[in-house]
Amino acid sequence: MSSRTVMLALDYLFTEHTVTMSERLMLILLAARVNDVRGDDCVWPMLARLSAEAGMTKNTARTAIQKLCKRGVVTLVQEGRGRGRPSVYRVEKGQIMDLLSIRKRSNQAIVKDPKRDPPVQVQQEVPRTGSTLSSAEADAVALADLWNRTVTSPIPKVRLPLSADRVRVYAKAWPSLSVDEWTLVFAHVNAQDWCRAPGVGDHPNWTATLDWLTKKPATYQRQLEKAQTAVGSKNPRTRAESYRITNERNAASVASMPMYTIGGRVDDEADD
Amino acid sequence: MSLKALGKALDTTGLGPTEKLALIYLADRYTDDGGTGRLPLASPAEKFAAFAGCSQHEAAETIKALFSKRVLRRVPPPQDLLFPDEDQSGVWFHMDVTQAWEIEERVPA
Repeated sequence: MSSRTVMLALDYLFTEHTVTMSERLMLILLAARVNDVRGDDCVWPMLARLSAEAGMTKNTARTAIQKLCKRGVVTLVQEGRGRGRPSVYRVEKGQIMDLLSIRKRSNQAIVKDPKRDPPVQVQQEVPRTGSTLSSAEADAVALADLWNRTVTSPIPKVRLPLSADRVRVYAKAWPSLSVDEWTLVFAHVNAQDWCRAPGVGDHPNWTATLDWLTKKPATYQRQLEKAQTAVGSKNPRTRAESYRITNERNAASVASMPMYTIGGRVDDEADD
Repeated sequence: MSLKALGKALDTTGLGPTEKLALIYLADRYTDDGGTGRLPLASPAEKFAAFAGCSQHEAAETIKALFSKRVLRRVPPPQDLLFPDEDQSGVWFHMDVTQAWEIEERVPA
């Protein structure tokens, strides 16, 4: 399966709302057959198998492919020559990318097929990138984008657009550290085995997420301290800040500890 | 996107075109986030309708069919949610991404 071609096809289908359902499915199934190693983007599916996979008749499948050809996202390279010699098609990745970029630039509204029945209120699929963002959203997206560019699989990337809650949390966290510090934290987390589904321990499948990291300021501050310790940072301001945070945490933990005296706890004596 | 889930969706047989497209759409949304193996998705029918260009009613019926064919399983949200209000408003799916499903064998006669 060519995951890159399938993802490209899905991206195209997310932006192109005039494509029928059978065309959508057929484009995905054709894209999945592309061999990235061969590099010619050609596929020669047996129509019977293709239609069986799609759960549609051969005629429907053939018509859907013809419509995709008319759209220019698939090209008929060679006509089929009878049984066992299927038609050869090429998935036009370049054309799909061009259409995608045009669509993103023009930010066209949904063009609904008037023949489609019934006409219902359909929520437009939110754009994956690019829109007018508020300051908080811009901060949150910046943080998410930095995370997505830093971490690698199996650590999950953040899917855009962000929910309102995530915007709130990410935007609150973003100014706490500089871009360099966030980059350092993300790189540090990304390099830790225990953050990458280690396969052992109490949580063998656990992976770090941006949600986990930003949920509590203490989490990313702690990771920053560890990251700076790991790289031997000599930045006095950052180091001083780290000491301050550590001291505050220590003071808080000491304050929460029960006080004992000889013969019992202070609280017990007070009760007596 | 979870490539495992996508591969499973593509290889699953015995579905109608709308169901198959819905499965692919859900696989695209599936992230295996935090190893929970679950997918939170608010208003899945509405979102799938927007993607597929069908009515919300048809989209809802399609997703319902995926539940009845046991391709999807509805599960409770995890206990340690970061945003419980948001995530509990959606539907939590579980997709077994380890292998493709042959629907005919799973549907009781």
